Amino acid sequence: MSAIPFAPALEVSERVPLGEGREGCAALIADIAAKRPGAEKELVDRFKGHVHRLLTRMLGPGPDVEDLLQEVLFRVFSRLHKVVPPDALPGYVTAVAVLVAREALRKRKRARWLSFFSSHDLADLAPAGHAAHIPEDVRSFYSVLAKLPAQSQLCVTLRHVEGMELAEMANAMGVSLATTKRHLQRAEQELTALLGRDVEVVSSRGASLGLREEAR
Amino acid sequence: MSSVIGQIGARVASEQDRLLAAEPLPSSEDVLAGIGRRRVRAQRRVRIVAAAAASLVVLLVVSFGARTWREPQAAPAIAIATAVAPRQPALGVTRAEEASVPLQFDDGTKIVVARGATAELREVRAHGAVIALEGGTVNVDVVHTPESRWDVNAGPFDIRVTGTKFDATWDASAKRLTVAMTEGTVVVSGPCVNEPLAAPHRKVFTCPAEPAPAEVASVDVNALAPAPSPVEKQAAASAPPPPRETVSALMAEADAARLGGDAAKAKRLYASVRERFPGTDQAGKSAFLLGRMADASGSPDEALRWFEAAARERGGFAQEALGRSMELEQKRGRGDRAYALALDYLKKHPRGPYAAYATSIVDAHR
Repeated sequence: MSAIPFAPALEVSERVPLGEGREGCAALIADIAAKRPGAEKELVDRFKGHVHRLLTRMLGPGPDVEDLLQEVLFRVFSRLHKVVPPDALPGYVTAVAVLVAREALRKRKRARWLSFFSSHDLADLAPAGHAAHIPEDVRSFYSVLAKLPAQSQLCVTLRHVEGMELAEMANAMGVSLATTKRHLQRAEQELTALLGRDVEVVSSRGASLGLREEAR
Repeated sequence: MSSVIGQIGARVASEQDRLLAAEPLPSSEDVLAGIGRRRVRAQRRVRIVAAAAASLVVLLVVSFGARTWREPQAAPAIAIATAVAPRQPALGVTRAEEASVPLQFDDGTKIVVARGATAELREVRAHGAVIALEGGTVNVDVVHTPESRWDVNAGPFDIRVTGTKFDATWDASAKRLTVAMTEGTVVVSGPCVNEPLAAPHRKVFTCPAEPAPAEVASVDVNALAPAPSPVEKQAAASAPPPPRETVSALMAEADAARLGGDAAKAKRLYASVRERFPGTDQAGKSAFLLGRMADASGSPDEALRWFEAAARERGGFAQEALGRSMELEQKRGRGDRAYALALDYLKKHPRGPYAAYATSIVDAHR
């Protein structure tokens, strides 16, 4: 029987270039400070897609992403006057998103500890409903990832799912480049230990990528 | 291994992008409305904190001021004179170690703490008091008035007294209350009882495992030592039935065992759920979890049996179970079986999480 063909992977969508529109950022911040009508909406329009995608990468698809999107932008607006220089706005938005995601991951861990039963720890077991359309391998990946500390989860998702460069990661997480490398290495080791046999489960549909061989 | 994680991550990103492309982003108006609500909540929090801080300052000032201003003490509603141990506080514990101790109230009520007994005067009311009998016997003689309200607490029991004379004896080790009436009526309430008792009756009360106490029709009220009835002795020998376990509690214990790594215990508990609560959502979920555990431990045949059960039953895991069965059969090289399951899956769950996988199996089989 021939190998099962898989649908070709889609191109990873382009990320918002962090340095985009430096002059635009300064003008936008000034307009918001001056309460120009439509200025806040312009900021939301510019960044909501980026933040939504980032949160999805870091937390996995779930019903709380939209709520956290509001939280991220609320905090950005609250501290807009502290963004110095103004062209650091895109990086600042990313850093706030990472901070909010870290808080959400820690909250999930606390809830799991208290209840001994977490819908996220068993993300791959979620019954038909909201998560019904989420592919099994995505759910399995985040289910395994949820066993790591929050910082390690962020390292893995920002680097390997979002595809951030190390310098960008350091800026987003608010730590030095050396610390970022160290955290990332530890996270990869932790995830490797956890995946074990699950590598086959998560990557079984990537058999054409030769993952099974590499995992051994 | 980093490259493996990278490839997995790329695959995950690709699937996520597909999902994100299919679902529209929330509108900017909705996002701004949500931000507006957060701003209102934040302002409310600031006001509450400010009000709390102001209240604390006021409280500190008032309490500091009150300490420097001595108020005349209010006269007690009932004056209490004790015949023994004059240092005994009005409210507190009385231990009649050497001799009985009478507590005399100014309305004429008298409560005698019998020798060897311990009782506490917990509360003095305008027209009564609360006595807590910690062990032994108290002789109670309450003067009746329309407003009289006295309570004698003994363990879980309460004797409500409105004007009567009786003896109450509490055996803390046996959790047994004996009430012997001389005059009037009391109401005895507790976890398993709420009934009046009138003179000249004597009754023994216990809860919850022992049966209702037998009433002694006539008794010498001077015989204060209580005697357990034969029924009580017989009932005490039998163990109380264990509490009925709910399916939720059993599932929680099973989940805790599974997450804690005790697979054997988890399997036993999930099997118990299925045996004791068949046809429930939890029974169906247990089948799915047992299948997963069997798969993880390298028992595909057992896993398939559980997945097939979960696919038939309630519990909300039918499509996952069918998908896993399909995947297992495919891994084991049973292409025809996987194909049949894939067709079944696409028929029942055309938009399920395994739909793409099922489609690829069907396409490859043709």
